[in-house]
Amino acid sequence: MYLYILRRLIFLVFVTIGITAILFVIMYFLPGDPARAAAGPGAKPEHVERIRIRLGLDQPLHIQYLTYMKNLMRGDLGNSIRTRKPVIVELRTYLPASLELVPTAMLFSVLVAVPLGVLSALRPGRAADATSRLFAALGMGMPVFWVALMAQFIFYGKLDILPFGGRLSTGAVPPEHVTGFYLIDSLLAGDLALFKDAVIHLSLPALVLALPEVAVISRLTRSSMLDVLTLDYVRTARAKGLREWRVIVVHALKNALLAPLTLMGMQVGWLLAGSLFVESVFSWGGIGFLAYHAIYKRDFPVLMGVTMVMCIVFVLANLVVDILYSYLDPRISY
Amino acid sequence: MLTNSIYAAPETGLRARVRERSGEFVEQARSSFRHNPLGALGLGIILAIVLVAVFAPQLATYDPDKLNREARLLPPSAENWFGTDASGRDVYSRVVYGSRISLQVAVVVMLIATTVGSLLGAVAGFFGGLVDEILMRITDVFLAFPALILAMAVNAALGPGIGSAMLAVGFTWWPVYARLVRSQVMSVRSHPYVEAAICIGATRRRVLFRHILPNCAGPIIVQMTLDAGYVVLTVAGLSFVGLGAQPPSHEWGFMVSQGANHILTQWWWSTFPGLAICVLVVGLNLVGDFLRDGLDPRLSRTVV
Repeated sequence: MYLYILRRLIFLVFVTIGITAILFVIMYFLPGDPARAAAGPGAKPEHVERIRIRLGLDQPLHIQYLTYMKNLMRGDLGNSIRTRKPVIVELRTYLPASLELVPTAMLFSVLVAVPLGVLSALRPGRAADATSRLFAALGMGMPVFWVALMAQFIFYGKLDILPFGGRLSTGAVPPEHVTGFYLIDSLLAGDLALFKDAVIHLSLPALVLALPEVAVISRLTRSSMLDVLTLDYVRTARAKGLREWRVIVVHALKNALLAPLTLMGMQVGWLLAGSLFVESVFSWGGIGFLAYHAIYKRDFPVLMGVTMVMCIVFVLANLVVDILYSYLDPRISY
Repeated sequence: MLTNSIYAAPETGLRARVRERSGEFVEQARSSFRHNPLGALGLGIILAIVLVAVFAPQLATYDPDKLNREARLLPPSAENWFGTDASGRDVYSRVVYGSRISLQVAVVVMLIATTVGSLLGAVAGFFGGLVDEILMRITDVFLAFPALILAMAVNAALGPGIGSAMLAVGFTWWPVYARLVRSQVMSVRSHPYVEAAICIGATRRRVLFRHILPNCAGPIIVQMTLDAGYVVLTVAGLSFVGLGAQPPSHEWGFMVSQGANHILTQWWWSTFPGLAICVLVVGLNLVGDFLRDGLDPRLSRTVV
C-alpha cells in the first residue's frame, strides 16, 4: 500500500516534468514575444533587449528549461510578467479561494447526487431511467459559463436573494489573513456576521459548479446501484431479515459507490476547468480567475504555475480515489 | 414486420435481398429507438440542427452581421424573435448562422483527434515493445492534465481565433483515442484473420490499415459521439474567455461572452446563444448514450 502510494508520487514527479516540458515547448514556439509584452507598448528596442536578457529569454530552449527546473526545485517559479511579483506569492494569494470553492462544490454534488441516485435506483423502470438519462445529458450539456450567467440573472437580478459575485460584500473588510480561507479566518476572528457573508457569497458559485457533477454522479450511482441490487449477497441480506434501508445503505451502497468514485476523481479535472469560468463570471479571486487574466496578458510564468498546480491537484485527487478504493472494497489491494 | 420477411415467399435477386436487409435494419433501428426513445430525440435534435445549418439563409430573418443603429438592444419581439445586441444585430439570425460554426467545430476537432490518436494508438498497439512504452507514457502525461487547461495554453500560444481553438482542442483530445485504439488493436491483432493476412504475405502496413483498423471502428465511433458534446462545450468555453472566435463572429460561446456584461439588463443577448449550445450538446450526449448502449449490451441491461 505505502509502496503503491510512493510509486504514484514518483509518477507525479514525472508528470510535472512532462507538463513543464510540454508547456515550455509550446510557449517557446509561440508567435508572441513575452519580453516585448513585459516592456510595455512603445518600448525602445534596447530596453526590450535588456529585459530579454534579464528574463533569460535569449538562451536556447533546453538551457531555459533546465534553469526553470533548477529554480522550481527551490520553489521559485519565476516572476509574474504582469505584476512582477513572484509566481509562488501569486499562487499563495489566489489558491485558498479556489480551495474553498472547488471542494465545496464537490461535497455539495456528492451530498445531493448519491442520495438522488440511490432513490431513483429504488424505482427501476423505463420512465425513471429516461428521466435520469435526460437529467444527466442536460447537466453535462449546459455550458458552465452560461449557467453561471443565468444564475446571476435569476438569483440576483430577478429574485435578489443572493449576491452578484465576489467573495464578500463590497465594503466588508476581509478577515485577518491566517489561512486565506475566508470561512475559517472569519471564524478564527470570531466574526459571525462576516462568516455568514462569506457563506452567502460562496453558495451560488458552488451550486453552479456542482450542477453538472450532480447530474453525472447521480446517473452513475443509479445504474451502479441497480447492478449491485441484483447480486446474490443482497438477496442473502434480505433473506436473513435485515431491514430494507440497511440492505441498501450498508450492504449495497458501499459496493455501488466504486464506479461513481472513479468518475469523481476524473471529474476533478472538469471541476478545475469549470472553476475558471465560474470564477471569472462571479469575480471569485481564485486561481481560475488568475489564469483568466494571465491568458490575456500572455503572462506565461503565471500560466505555467497555475497549470502545474491544477495538474498536481488532479493527480493527487485520483490518488485519493485509489486509496479510497481499497477501503470500500478490501479485495482491492496495492 | 419481421414476420413478413420470414413467412413471405422468398424473392430472388439482389434487389430483393437488399430490400430485405434494409427492412431488417429499419426494423432493428425502430426497435432500439422504442427501447430508448431519448436516442431518437437526440438524433432528431442533431438532424434539426444540421437542417438549420444547411438552410440558414432561408431561416434567418436578417443578415446576421448587419449593424443597425436604430435597433440596438431591443427585447424579443415579433420582428426580432430573440431581440437584438448592442450593435443592433438580430440575435435570432446570428444564432441560426452560428449552428454552422458549432457543427464544423465538432467535425473538425473529432477528425484531428481521431486521426492523431488512432495513428499513434495503432502503432503502439501493433508494434508493442519500446515504441508502445514510449507512446503510452507520453499519452499518460497528456491524460494527467485537465484537457481544457492544456487547450487554453495551446490556444493562447497559437494566438486567438476559432481555427487555433479547434487545433488546440484537437491537440489535447487525441490521447483518449490513442488509448482506445491501442487496446482495440491489441485485441483484434490476435484474431485468426490477421494471422491469415500475415501468412499470405501482406505487408505490416497493409495488415494494420486494411485488416485491423477497420475492425476497431465501432468503439471509436461511439467514443466520438460521446466526446463531440464536450468538444463543442470546450471550444465555446475558449471563445467565452476570448481565445476562440473573434469579433464579429456569431459563434455561440462568443455571443454569450459578449452579452455577459448585459445579463441583468438585456438578458436575451446571452441567453439564446447559450440555449443553442445546450440543445446541440444534449442532442450529441443522447445519441452517444444510445450508441454506447447498442454497442455494449451489458451496459444497456443494467438500466432496466
